[in-house]
Amino acid sequence: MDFTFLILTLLFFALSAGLVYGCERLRRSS
Amino acid sequence: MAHTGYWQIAIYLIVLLALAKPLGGYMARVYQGESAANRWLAPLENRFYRLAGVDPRQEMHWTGYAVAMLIFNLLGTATVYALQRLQHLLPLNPQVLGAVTPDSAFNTAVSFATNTNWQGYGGETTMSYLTQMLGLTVQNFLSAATGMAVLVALIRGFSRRNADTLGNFWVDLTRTTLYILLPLSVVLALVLVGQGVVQTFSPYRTVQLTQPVGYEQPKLGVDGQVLKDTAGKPVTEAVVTKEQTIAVGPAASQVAIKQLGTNGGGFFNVNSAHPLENPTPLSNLLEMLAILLIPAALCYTFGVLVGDTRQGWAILAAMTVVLVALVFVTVPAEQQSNPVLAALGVDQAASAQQAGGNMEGKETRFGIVNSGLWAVATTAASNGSVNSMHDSFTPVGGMIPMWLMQLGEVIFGGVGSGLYGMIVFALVAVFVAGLMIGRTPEYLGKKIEAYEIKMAAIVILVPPLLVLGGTALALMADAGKASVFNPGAHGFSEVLYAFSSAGNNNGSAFGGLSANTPYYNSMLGVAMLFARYWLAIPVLAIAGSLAAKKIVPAGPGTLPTHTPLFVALLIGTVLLVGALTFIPALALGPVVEHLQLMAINQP
Repeated sequence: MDFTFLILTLLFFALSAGLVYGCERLRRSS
Repeated sequence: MAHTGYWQIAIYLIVLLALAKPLGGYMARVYQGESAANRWLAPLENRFYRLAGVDPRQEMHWTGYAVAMLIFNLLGTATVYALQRLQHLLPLNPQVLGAVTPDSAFNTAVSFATNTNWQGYGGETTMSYLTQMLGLTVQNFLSAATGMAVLVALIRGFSRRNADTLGNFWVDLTRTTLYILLPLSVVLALVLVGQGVVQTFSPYRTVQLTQPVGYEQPKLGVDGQVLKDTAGKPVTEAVVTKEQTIAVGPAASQVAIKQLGTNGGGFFNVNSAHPLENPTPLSNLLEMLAILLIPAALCYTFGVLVGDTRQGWAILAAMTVVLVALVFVTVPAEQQSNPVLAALGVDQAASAQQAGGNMEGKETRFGIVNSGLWAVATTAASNGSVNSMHDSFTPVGGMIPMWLMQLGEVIFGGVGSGLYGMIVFALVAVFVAGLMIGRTPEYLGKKIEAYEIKMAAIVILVPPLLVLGGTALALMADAGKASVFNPGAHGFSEVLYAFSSAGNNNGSAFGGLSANTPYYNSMLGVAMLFARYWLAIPVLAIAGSLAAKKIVPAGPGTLPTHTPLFVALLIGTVLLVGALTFIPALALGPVVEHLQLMAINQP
């Protein structure tokens, strides 16, 4: 099975978790 | 347009709006845990929680809610990817279809998990029954439930005060699936079966044709490549066939949820234009109603849950006004005769014998009105199923579905996602109104401050970035241009439509573009991911921020948000943002094409 696209998907969701963290930091600082 | 056309549109809208209140009220009771279904099926619901190790009483902070959503959707995407890649080793594959290619499997997995249901593949020639049922149909339910769960969390942001939490994602997901989507889908699937939609595990049928069909097909050499003559043209050979393979399968169960869940991914390649997916005028009406039913009803649910149903009606009014206005652009555009054919003396007038107008790419049994109405409904909602080929619409008729997607899928929109998108536009509208009168804006008793507007800006700016950036990149890259077979403005429209569809999680295709390539599968897949989750996350952030605020009583300076004035302001905000962002791109595609078509009549 080709894992390239699964890794790409995993990276996207990790980045999205980063967005959650960033939005919450912004909320706490505002 | 004949008067029967007006009646068909009127009946559709009346039935749709009449169903909004009872269904919306029921859904509100489901989310409040007070419906009869909640009581009867509570043991089953609790059993699911025990199996999954979930404590349904545990409330989640918005970040926890968002992370639960992300993990759940990641697992769904990975499962659908694996099912496609391994389908040749798995059961329920009577046609012995091979593994789906990695790029197509990625695109399809993302497409169904994000509620987009863009289909680069042809269902009957690519997917086993197991993949269709366990992969695609399951995601039809779960992606729809995800959107509705995010909406309910946002509504709790308005209705709660000084709160840290938004509910429990697993509970919202389970209740949506168990009490709303499953019962509606079972009923609709059974009715569709009654109308002739196929539902079987049997292999495809081979039947004898009543008349042999002859055609020319390219001749292949021993290397499998098309042979060419000395002039470089393909060599063809005459073929006569006496039999036809008719694809069947468990279609009705997938068709019901693909319409109700605003998914749109057809069981067959031509979607609801296929006679075994949408056989009769009644099945067509029911499938069209199912597209907008839950998005419309959710407006009423919203009103009930925030304690003021007028707020829900106001949003539903704004959506309906835009929908109706655009139906009356697309349908007359399609009913008009094509100037090119008119110049050749072709009779294109509507009569008892023919629908008239532009019937290319449309089913005779549906005609102009039901094709145009479906096209507008399916792109107003982020459904994307089709019963006609949008690529064959007139330039103006095809521009409207494209623009509806570009408006951000907020005119009804996807189940849950459409309304939370529209509520974000409502926040921008009250913010603009607040700027006009120099007062801190409020919406439903919550002050709208800088943080909410920053999050709203992400929600509004991400899709145009994906659509316009993706289109520009595709038209610069050789791999992107290689898939465009129509030269000029129409080819541009096809690429713009594809990214408008993926970048707003619609999923319908203009067709004509050969999109099942590694380039488009990858680029459109990435666009779908960002369009779904990078909007849902800031929406949940808004919900978390609002829930923590107190409720401010309405004062003399508060802008009422249930009045016709606010409806007009909301419509203006949506249309202005959509127009300012996309008219330059539309001018290069359908507008140019329309002018070229009109030039036929010039001396």
